Amino acid sequence: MSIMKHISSIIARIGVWFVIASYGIMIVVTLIEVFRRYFFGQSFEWAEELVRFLLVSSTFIGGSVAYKKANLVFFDLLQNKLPKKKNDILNVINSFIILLFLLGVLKLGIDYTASPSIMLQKSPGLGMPMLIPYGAIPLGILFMVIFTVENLLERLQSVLGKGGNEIC
Amino acid sequence: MLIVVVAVFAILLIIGLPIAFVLGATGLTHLLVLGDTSFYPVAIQRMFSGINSFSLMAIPFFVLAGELMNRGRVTDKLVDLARECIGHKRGGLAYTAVLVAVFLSAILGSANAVCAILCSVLVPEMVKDKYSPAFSTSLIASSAIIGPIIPPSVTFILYAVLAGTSVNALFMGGIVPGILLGIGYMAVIYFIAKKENFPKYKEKMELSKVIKALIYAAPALIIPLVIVGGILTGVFTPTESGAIACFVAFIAGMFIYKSLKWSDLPKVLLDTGILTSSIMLIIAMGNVLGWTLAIDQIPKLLSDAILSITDNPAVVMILILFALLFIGMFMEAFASMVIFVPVFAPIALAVGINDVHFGLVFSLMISVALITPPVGMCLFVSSNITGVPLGSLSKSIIPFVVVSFIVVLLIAFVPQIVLFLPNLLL
Amino acid sequence: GNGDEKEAGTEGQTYTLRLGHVTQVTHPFHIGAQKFADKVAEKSDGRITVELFPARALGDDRELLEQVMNNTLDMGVISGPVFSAYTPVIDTLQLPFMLNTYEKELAAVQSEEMSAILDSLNQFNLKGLGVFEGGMRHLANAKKPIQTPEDLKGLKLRATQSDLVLKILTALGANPTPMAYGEVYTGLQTKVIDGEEINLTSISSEKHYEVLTNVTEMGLFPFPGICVMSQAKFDSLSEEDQQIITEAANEAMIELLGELPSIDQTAVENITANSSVEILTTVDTAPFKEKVMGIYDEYTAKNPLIKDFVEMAKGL
Ligand code: NA
Ligand code: NA
Repeated sequence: MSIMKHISSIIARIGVWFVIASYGIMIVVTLIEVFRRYFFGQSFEWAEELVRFLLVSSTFIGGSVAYKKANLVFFDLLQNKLPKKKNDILNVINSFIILLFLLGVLKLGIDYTASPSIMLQKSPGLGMPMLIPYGAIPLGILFMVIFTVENLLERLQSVLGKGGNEIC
Repeated sequence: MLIVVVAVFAILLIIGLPIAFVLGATGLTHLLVLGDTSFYPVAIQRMFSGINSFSLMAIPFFVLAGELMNRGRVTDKLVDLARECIGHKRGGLAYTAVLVAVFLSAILGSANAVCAILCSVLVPEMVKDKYSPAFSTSLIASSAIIGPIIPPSVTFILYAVLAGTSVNALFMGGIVPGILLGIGYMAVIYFIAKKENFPKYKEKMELSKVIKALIYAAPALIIPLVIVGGILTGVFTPTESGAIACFVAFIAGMFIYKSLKWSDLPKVLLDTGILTSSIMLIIAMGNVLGWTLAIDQIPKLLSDAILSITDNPAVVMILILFALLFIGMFMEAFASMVIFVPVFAPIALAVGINDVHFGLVFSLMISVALITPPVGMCLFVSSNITGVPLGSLSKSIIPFVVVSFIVVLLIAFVPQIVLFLPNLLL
Repeated sequence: GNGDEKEAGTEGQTYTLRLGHVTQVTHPFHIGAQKFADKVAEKSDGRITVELFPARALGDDRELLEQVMNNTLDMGVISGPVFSAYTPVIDTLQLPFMLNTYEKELAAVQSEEMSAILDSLNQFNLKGLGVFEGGMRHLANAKKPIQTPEDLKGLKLRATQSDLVLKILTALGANPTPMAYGEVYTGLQTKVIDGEEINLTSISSEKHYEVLTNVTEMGLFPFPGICVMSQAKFDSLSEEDQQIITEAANEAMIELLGELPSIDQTAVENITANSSVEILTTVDTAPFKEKVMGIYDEYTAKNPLIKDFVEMAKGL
């Protein structure tokens, strides 16, 4: 349990700094490009591509941080109406469904990234193997899986723990 | 078959999964239901391609520019300016709210951002001035939908990416509907103010105070000038103008308002990243469903069905507006755009509706859906912040919803109102 | 899976093939795809249906290509430059001023050298069936008539996202910048770009003539769409059906190339009827060609298939 928490907090910190660095680079590169084009009429072919790939990677890695911080949008209409105990149970069910979904996406993500259509492909601007930007998807999803497991363990403990007390 | 997909969507939505996961799981369910295992790999590709777009980069830039401006306590300065301009009318603070929403909309790209700021800044003041909490909250929630209509706009960017329409033209076309919405809400205030005898904020307008407030607010007002001006003169694309807006906001925050420190930057970038990621994740996951619907020929079936009834553009427009009204009552805005722009835009094009005009009407309708009960993001955000229950908010917002629909209909059937600006300027 | 299908064969079976591409239904790619679909239906007595997904309904070019490689999508008509992410051989068709008329292209695409190039795609699980031409590319701009390479100096031209095309325009002395197709009209209008490398039908259908002033017809390079099928899918078909597919694609390719001169002529008539765009057709391309010779050396060194094709094309 505490190991799970430890791993999850390290991953979250990696995610946070990845997002900060990506957004820093995206804005600086785009600004440089605007000035270069405006004043010199030139642009780097790779710049736009780099910015796009950073946007994709930071969506999945930053998305995992947003998920951990409960910043992903959801409708709480039902959850607001349920009493605490039932709400806890609903949360456990939700985490199970999310885990199932994420594991499915993780499997698909690894398969797709490892397929020849991606492994043999080079990006036109940077000449970078497409494995790298695509790989961010299974990586971000893996982060989400870890956060879900952590959350699920915590919720289960709270549901079962309280249940036990009531029986006594 | 499709009924299974719809059921999975509804159940996951109701039990409270994040919208992004609801969409992803629904897409995967549709892939399973289609029953061809060779389709599975496409899920990851669609997630990637949904956000692999330079135009979408404008979204984080507009978010970042807004975050940077907020740190400079820009909202206070805009409130002061609006008050000095219009506070002497009956219901002065209510008019002020609409005016501030219009100013803020020219800086911020989304309704939620405008809504969150106005709710925390203006609703307490309005309640102090004896406006009812329900009226104040519905006024703010409604005014917030001007956010994505007046450029910059996250909604227009997403529409342009999905439909291949020109972002610049949509931006130019959004100015008039945004102002019309503002005027419409002011009209609502005017009628209610008489009935309820709303207070005036101050006795009369003083020019010297207006000018002083204008000077304080000037750096904030530069942002929209940079964005709209940059696009108009063709100096920058919308994405680039977003980057420039960040630069201006940074300079203003650092050196003019002096409210921004270097050490604030990581936090600002992180907040931007997290907010953007949660939008992008919805777009990425929703894109899976876009593909499964297409391979299942659903858009074509729907289009054939509509075109077999009529090819009259006005009738098609009405049919699509009704569909969007219904969709907007139950779905989140970005999710419904990712799924339904590829469905409806080709139909509109097929009957000869101008693509920019249709893009404006569609985006406007999706934005109005933010305040139509039962599911509307601006209703949720404002109810959360002000504590007004959704039930009473859903009633008090009705006059504003009605006015919004009048504006939508006006723009849907008198295209010249919105098209003259892009035609004139671009 | 495909293994089972292969053993069962498809002799006499009724089935549907899905074909995706990115262009609107007025574009030559779609005209070619439609011809192909009609011919397959006719040859198989309606047994095989080719279902078309135009206008990016299933994804952009790169994504459609990935889908065909993964057997997700049966077929696609994919813009030539996209293949360069995997192999340079398809770029051969777009070497500058080589296939500068439709007659030359018609002869070239039916050559053994072309077949060798298409066959080489099977290492990516792709069965290359033919070349659906999208329309010869020329130079268009909103500033001045282009008669010599000097006129191109510093001109900001929108280019297709293609390493080769960017190299060609740079070698000619222009300032190429990749840009989304949908933004070109406003890009020209707001002077973000001065011009573009483009085909005549696009100038006409996208109304670029409203914001252009000059077009120089110079046969810069063709714009081929490669009709590909998943190799695994192709192998799973009966021999009879494989022949139907191959023949239909070949006939569609030849018919389309035969019609392109008149398709271009219609476009020119529409442009001149609706605008005062000046179209030059008699420019001496020799000084332009001189500037891009280095590109030939670079590409023929990349792959023997390219070298063979270039030698064949020189004899046309
Ligand atoms: Na806005
Ligand atoms: Na709604």
